[in-house]
Amino acid sequence: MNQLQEQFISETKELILQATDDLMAVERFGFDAERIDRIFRAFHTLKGSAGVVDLPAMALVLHAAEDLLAAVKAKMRPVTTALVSEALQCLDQVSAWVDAFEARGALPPQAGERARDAALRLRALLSDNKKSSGTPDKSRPDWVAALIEQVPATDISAGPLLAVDYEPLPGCFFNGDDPLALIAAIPELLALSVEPRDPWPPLPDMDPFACNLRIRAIAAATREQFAGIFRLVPDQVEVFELAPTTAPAAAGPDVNGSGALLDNIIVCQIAMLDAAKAADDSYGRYGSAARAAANALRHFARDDLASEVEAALEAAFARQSASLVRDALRNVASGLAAPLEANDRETASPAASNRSLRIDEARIDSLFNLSGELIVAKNSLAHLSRLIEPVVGEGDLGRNIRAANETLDSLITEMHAAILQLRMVPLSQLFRSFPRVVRDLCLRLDKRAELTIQGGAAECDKKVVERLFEPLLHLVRNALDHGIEAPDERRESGKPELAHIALEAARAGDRLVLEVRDDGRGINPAAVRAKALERGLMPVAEIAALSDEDATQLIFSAGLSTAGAVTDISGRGVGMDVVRNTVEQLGGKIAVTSRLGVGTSVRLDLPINVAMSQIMVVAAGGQLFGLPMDLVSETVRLTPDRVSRIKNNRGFVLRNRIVPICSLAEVLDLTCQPADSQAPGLVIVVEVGGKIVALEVDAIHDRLDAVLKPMQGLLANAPAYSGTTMSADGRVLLVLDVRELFS
Amino acid sequence: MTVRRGPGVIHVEGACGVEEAEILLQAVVEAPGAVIDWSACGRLHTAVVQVILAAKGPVRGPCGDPWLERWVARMARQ
Amino acid sequence: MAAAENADRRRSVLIVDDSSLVRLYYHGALEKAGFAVEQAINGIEATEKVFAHNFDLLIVDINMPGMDGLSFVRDMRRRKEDIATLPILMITTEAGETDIVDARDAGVNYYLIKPVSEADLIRHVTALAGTPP
Repeated sequence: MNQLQEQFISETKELILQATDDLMAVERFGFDAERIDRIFRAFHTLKGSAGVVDLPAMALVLHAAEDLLAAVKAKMRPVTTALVSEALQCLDQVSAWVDAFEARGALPPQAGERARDAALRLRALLSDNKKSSGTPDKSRPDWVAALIEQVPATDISAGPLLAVDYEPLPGCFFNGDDPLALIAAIPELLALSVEPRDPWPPLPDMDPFACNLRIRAIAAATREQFAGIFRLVPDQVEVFELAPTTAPAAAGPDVNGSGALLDNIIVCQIAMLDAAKAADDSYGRYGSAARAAANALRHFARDDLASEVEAALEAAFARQSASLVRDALRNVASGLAAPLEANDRETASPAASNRSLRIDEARIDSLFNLSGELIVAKNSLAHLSRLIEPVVGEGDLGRNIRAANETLDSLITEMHAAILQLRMVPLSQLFRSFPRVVRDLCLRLDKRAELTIQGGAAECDKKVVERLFEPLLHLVRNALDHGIEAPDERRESGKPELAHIALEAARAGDRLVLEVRDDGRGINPAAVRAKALERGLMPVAEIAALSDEDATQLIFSAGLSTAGAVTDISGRGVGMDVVRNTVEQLGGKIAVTSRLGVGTSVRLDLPINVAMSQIMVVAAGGQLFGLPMDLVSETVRLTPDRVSRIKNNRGFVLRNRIVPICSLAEVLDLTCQPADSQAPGLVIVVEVGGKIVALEVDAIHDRLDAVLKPMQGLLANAPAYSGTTMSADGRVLLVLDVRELFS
Repeated sequence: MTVRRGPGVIHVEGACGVEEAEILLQAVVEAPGAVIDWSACGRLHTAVVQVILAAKGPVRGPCGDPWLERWVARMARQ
Repeated sequence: MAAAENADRRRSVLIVDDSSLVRLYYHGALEKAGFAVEQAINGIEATEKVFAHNFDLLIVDINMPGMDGLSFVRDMRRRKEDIATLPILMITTEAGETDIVDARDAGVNYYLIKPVSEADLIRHVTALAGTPP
């Protein structure tokens, strides 16, 4: 792989991400000249690059996409879901090819064939299919409006009004047809357009006996009159009624992608208010602006914002001040834009990322390891400097050593933190593929859902972010597949057809809290209990004793799935138990809350830094071990009378819960000192996989901030240990993997 | 009834049926830029009108047929 | 008016345009979509109707002989109370930006550029008249 190819790979990946975001934004919010232009240029650039690194299959399909986007740019093709889907699929294909190219230096063997198929599908969207390009519902085609404009103001009393679209067959002359003669027979003709169906060929090539006309007309005639005139050519003629009928139908919901219209209306009101000059139309202006805005907001189901505007109008009237309405409208405008921000930050300023530096991840990792070793070294220096104090005495030397040590300590800690920052990436990187996931799944499941994302700016260690993708993906898919109901069901339960999924992140101190929330059908604790019973997860009495809330947490247990069938969307191998394991491996916690019929929320609580762990040093079986603090709930000194025995197990009561006691030495297969039954025992209460256990240890020593080194060599696969670190006095400390110990 | 050529002019006179379309087309091809004069025409078959529209050349009118003059002439004069 | 009653009532619009063909065309489309529709051929007739009935939206053509659309709008905005605050949708031409700017200055709430397709007309009228979703 040479440098040119490497550059091609990284640029292509970036362009694909950008174009994906823009495509989805355009689908959601409608035609936007700037975005469309960006998408077009992305395909254009991708096509060129593919050519430069000599990947003709890729270039072929990108060329087709580029042509399609050119038509959209020129407003000759509308932005439709089908078009966006095809364009996104094209990007998917190119992305897969880039990965293959990166791995093997070439595209897979069927690439050429795939490229041809994909190009064909893209180009199919370019051709003008007469029957499908019209509006699918019964509203009149657009040409009617244009034709009407041609008619000078005339005086027609209310009566029949029809439009006709006549496309004679090319061979109609041989049937004795004279299309214009038929049109001339139409009484009360009002407007006529005669156009070539296909572009006129050069005259020498023209066939004078092939009809190449498309004739459209508007007339104040009745259907019967039309039927009579066109009785011999009914297959070539389409007739539309234009006059008012007497039966009003209900105004249909807006299905055309409402986002852009609502934004435009609000913006227009603000512009109209800003253009105010005279004072005597002030009330009319801000009153009508408020009414129009509130109307539109209610129509698009934003009653909350509509009420704000109406309240502002009342206040404005009372105080005779237009600015209150203007301010309210400005708030509404940014309120409408808010959910967009999280998704759109990436596309908002593609140029802004140019100030970053591309660095090899391996370099950062090695820097990070070095920094970790420095921390260990500074810890031992600190320890030594403490030891040396009594030797050196109170004099200058002692003070200087102490001061130097403190300086070193703080510098190294600071440097380590800075390097840790290098690995911090914003969560938006994680979130950016989710709008697409939701969109595709909605199409597939025939459900309607909207995804809002918040907190993408929160940062987290890259390793954590990478490992969070799979679990989050599973949670979102789960929400869509099992949580959110089909539109009919939602309507029947009085819920809005458009379901809502929220993906939110927030920092709470040194923890990161992530939430996946849906307003679907919720989790039925009874169903979970029943399944748990069926699977024999735990004794009947225990299941019954669980509160509804605790029963719901059972969904994280292995082997439990309350969905009727394991669908291929959320069922394959990634269960909720795997999600919990992943989260706990990252040092986090997961919990679910749910209200039946209202929705479900899954919350992940993660440490921001996986790198530095707080370790509690404990003694057991004559050895020292490290216990990761993030699992430790508390330590308890137990007097013998608090300890009860049930068969061979010991336990004690802690705030109304029975906590089993395990001797750490026993668990680790170490020789135990005989228990002094009179001495109080020391237990450390840990929380693992939703369960609570008390580990009995001989002693608890100090705590330290440690960077874990992974197990090496012969012990690499030893279970129960998650790594080693150095204790303050320089001994190697085995850090226990408590999860594994109790799994 | 017929298509008649003059110097720089192609006359379309009387009622013209479908077969005149070929003659008119030939005339137009052989004399590109010639003015098509339809001021003395009668009813014209669609095929004949089609050739006039496709020719996109200068047309001298007003068209002898009032209906064509009212509805189609402006499209010929593009 | 209680919110529930208000929400469901039939919205009513007034079409102000000197072309009977246009009025007929819009009338048909809007009635089919569930609106109560009235017509006025110029600003004067429109003013009479506006005082006589309550409308949710006025649709006004910019080009009318006599009192042209913009004058009508300016006049409306200086009237009292409910009349002055009527939402107005103006049908403009694309002849330069001046039409659109003038419409905005006159106090129009939204504009559409001719020719207006039926689908666009319905879409915009339902939104501006506050038809429930």
